[in-house]
Amino acid sequence: MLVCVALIEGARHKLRFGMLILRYEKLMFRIANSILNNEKDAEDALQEAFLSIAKNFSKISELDDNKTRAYIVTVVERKAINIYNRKKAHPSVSYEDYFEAADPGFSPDHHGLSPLAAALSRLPREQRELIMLKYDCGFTSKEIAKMLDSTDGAVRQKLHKAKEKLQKELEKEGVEV
Amino acid sequence: MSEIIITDRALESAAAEYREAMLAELPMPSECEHEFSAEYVKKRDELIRRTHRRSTIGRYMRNVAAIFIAVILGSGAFLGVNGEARADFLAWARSLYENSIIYRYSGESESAPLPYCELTWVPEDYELVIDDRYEDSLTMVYRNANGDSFIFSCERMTEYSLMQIELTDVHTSTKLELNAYDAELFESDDGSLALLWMDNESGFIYMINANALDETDVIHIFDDIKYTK
Repeated sequence: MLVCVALIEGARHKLRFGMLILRYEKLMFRIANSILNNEKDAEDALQEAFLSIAKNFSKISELDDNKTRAYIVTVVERKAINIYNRKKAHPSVSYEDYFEAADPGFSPDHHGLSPLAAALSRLPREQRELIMLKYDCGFTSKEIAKMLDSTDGAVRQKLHKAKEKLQKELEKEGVEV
Repeated sequence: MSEIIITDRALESAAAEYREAMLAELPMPSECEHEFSAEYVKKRDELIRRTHRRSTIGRYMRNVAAIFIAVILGSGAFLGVNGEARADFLAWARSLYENSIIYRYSGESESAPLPYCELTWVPEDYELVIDDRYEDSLTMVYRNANGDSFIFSCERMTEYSLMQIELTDVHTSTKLELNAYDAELFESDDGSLALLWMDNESGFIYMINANALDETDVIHIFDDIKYTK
């Protein structure tokens, strides 16, 4: 069955989607603008993020919980970086190149994190994003592939590499896996 | 590839830990202040309004999104992506964005009233089950005894709206000219069809989506639509 203009099903979900936008848009703007440093582009990033969130809205159980907030942060960051890359003469600027140069803003303090969580925080941003989408937000690799305009196979492979890297990090530190 | 011995449970736990640490360094949403531009507010309110309106047809759309069509809010960023595919139709820009086709209307459409549309021919056994009409959009859902459906819809396009067609599972897309309308037919792997056509003068975009009709039936429905202005 073809689907027409049905991003979100059900009146209750639609109401919640509106509430979610109004609740998080200023935080989203702050994150997008910290990456793009341009208010118009940041607002565009929000529009793209809303679409992505709408498509996966069924995965959001609570509007207020930290999982939802983290997911929204991940999506808007990704959209802002996409816009940043599109606007650049060289569109292949990587996540890492950008974030190495920019103020990371919310790179977490490693103190107090378990060895695996600390290793996760040190992963390249793109790999960490995959791990977070899969293991914190609960998306399947196929869903992530759709979100990132990639393929299921490519996402699986990247996830495997990310886990390999985590494992090596732990082994290097002598932490028992 | 080396064997991964970190368990999924350990990764879930580490991801939750990282999430909390990351969020601790961000302000709460209520602490963020910003005065959005009037253009943004207009787009946002339009998005909320349009998603509210669609609740009545949701239950007919649970089966497989072979071709996903959505009216979403416009943003300049979308159209900057793949310029070579633009301007195929007069007054319409057609661009490729990731795995989607985006249509955007650039003409003057604000004042054109939505025509009263009637489907004077539908395939045998199909009955009208939803007739949702608003000032700037229309959705009619037809269904038969087997549960097959087709949807005829129309949307007014403005400078703030985009039509996005996701190409996941689409195996053919054909541009057509039907009764002086620029049109495009999408066929998906599961046999679903979507016919989309544009009215260059008014800015309305029309669609027929069907999961169990062939191209001949869909064109027949299209041919026999009566538009009363």
